[in-house]
Amino acid sequence: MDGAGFDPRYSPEFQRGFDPAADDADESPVSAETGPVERVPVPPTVRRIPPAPAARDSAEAGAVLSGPEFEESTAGTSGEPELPASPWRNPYLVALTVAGIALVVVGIGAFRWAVSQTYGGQMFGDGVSDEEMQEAMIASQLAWGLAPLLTLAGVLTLLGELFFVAHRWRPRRALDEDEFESSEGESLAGR
Amino acid sequence: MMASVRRRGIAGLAAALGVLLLVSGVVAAAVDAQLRSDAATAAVTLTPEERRILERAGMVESVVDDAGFIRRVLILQSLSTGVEVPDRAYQIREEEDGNVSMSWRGIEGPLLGSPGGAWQWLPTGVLTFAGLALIIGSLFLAAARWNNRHPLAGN
Repeated sequence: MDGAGFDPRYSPEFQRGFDPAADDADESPVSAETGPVERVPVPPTVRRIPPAPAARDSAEAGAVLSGPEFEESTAGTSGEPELPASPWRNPYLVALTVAGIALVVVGIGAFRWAVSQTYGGQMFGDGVSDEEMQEAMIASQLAWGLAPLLTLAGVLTLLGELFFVAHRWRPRRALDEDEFESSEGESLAGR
Repeated sequence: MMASVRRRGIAGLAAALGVLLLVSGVVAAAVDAQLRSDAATAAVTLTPEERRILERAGMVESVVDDAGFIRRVLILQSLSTGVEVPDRAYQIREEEDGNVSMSWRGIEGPLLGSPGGAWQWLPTGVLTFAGLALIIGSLFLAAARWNNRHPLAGN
């Protein structure tokens, strides 16, 4: 701070307490006392370069993307950009797939069995005891009543899974751009 | 940390509630099937009066033989129309001239989807389906959370 209370690095015109009339009367005492003002380092303007994933591994990549940004973005990798894990590595998603398929298959199979039992009359065949007939009757009713619901639940599960994967899916190009932006931010933050 | 524990608790609670509903639904459906089967059995069981009339006409054996088939048809019609099994399946009349006429009637209910009825959403199926929905929903919740825990989830 100088005698007038201004920061010598900046012009007094843009600082609090500056009086234009007093400044006209006493011309530039500040600059005379403070000497040359140091230049404030300004971060270099970073020009955003669109990624070229196909050319990244080639020799042309060095010509297209040169400078510290490109070096830092590829630092720590073996040249191949690291992609997010496939959604099918998610064990819950695999479990949902298996459950959905199993529900559909079991539901259809159980309903077919129930229809064959009730319409085909297999439960009332010769040599069937009353207990077996009673059990088969209850089982066929259970299958008749619940099997379509199992199938419906399985179909809805698979559809929901499709939406889930579609929501998580991102194109390869967008992934590369995100990686580039994140590495770009890290390089700026490191300065 | 607390949010993670809370989310995990909600998913676990939903899964536990789903299992409870699923088991309750299957048990309720089994009880419903047993009651329907018992009702159909009672509907085809001859009363003493009916048996006396049929014995006089010599028709007891044939009716008893057909009872299993009629019971099955009653159950099937109850399932496909959503109507309860009637109390009596037979209509037996003894005419003044001594002749015996017998008929049996099925269930008269709404014909949905097809002339012979269609699959009906039984009330007991709601519990089972709700349980399945909760279990599957909690699995989806766990799948989404697993992805968030992944190191590359931020991408």
